[in-house]
Amino acid sequence: MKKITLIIIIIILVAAAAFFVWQRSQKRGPAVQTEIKDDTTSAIDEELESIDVGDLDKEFEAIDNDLKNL
Amino acid sequence: MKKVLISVIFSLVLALPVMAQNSTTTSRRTEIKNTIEQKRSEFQNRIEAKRTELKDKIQVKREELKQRLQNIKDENKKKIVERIDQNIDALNEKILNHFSNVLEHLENVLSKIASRTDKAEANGRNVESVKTAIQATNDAIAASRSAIEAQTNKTYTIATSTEDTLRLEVGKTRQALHDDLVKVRETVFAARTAVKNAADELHKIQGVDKLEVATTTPNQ
Repeated sequence: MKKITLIIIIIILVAAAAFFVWQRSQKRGPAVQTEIKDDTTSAIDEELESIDVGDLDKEFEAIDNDLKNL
Repeated sequence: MKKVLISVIFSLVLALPVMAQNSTTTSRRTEIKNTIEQKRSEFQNRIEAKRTELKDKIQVKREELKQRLQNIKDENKKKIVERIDQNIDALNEKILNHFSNVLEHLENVLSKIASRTDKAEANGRNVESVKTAIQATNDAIAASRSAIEAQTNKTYTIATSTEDTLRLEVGKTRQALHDDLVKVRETVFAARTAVKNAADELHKIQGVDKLEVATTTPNQ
């Protein structure tokens, strides 16, 4: 009788744990879609270095050339 | 039997907080990604609305310029002024598009920093300084987007009086655009510096690249 009680308690605990995990996963949504592939510091540094804000003066060259002809 | 029960309870007590932490980390990443997507979409919509408004203003401005250019006899100079006028508006749009793309790129880098930060936090590391830097970066990106929005609304009028002062007047208009774009560029630089600061804070966490959390399979 005692053994049966213990088995029931174990089953209840495992079921509660399983329910907890299932409930969390329902709220979470598709995890793979949000997984960022390479978030190491070297990848971060590399990507940051590759960002080019641009050369503003160069973009004005066409206008400046026209200005000279006025 | 008691031993089995104690083992089961002990395992659950250890495992559940870890599972909860991992799922919280993943859901936070989803939340951050969704917030970024929403902000980008709202920003793009506002920019499109402003550009639509601006089209009419530019059309009116061009007609007025044509009228004023009637005082100028040199046909070649008239064409040059009209071309510069068009190029000034086109350049404003082009540069602002580029700055918007730079901000999106910076935001992508920031997502990676946030992702790595979450992993560090899930592994019990102190990430407060990185979180503060991430918040500062979000603020800097928002400020830069506001500057881009304000600049999108602008158009530049070339004052034309006589043929002799034409070059000077057009030059002033060109310089006004340049000065305004320099100001917007400063906000983009500030956003980039903020991302760099966040990355530097992340670097300070020892062994941060080796810290991982268990990944889960997608739900259907």
